[in-house]
Amino acid sequence: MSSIKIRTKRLDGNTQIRTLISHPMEHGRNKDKTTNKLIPAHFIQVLTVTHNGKTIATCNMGAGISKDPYFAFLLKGGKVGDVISIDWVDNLGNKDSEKHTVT
Amino acid sequence: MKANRRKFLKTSLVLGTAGIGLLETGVANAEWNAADFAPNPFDAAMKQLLKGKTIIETDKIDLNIPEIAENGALVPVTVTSRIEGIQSIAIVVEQNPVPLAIQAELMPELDPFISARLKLASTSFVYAIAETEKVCYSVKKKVKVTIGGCGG
Repeated sequence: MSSIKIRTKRLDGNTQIRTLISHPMEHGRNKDKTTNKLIPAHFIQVLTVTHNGKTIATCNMGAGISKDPYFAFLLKGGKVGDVISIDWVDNLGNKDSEKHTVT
Repeated sequence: MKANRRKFLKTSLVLGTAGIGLLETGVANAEWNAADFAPNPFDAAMKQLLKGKTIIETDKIDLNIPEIAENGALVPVTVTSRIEGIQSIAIVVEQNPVPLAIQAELMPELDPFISARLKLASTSFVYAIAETEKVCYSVKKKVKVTIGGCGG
């Protein structure tokens, strides 16, 4: 199952894009309580949002974003049937992407 | 077009190989700049982010964040700007080990609006910085964290 959930909503002629990603977002300074070792850093570095194939947002982020990150964007216009896709790359090279059609 | 693509692939290969040694995380990513997200003091991080642009305090950016956060591991933040020509919005947390939390480059198709959830290490000022072609606009707000935000 994809780690990305996308929801869109039409608001006064605009389209609100909301996304929830399941990701640990470890910054590498937390300790594992049972083994007392540092948990290695594991966080999303780049998140890209595309609208009908055109990139509309590129977010570079560090581990200052909370676990299971949530983001919202507001697209000017947008109509039913537009395809929004979101993909992320983390510092370990993992990737995921998800497509969503505006309804 | 084709020649450009070749050239791009070649340069990215060279840069990528050079980058692997430098990055602590071991993964070279063309867009992600490790220096921006290095554990710097706040002043150094701001300098790195602004790249020589002047910064102006403004009231045309709405930074919506709770004044008191019960849990610093999850602080919802919303930034809305009423300034024309915004290219990117960054959110910086003064007291975090890595002050820059997110830098979002927004194309003109999007409204200058972003919402996210931050981690706050301790009570700190949170800055929203909107970048236009020439200058940066900033707004700040203090957030009080009542319990430790880093989980450890």
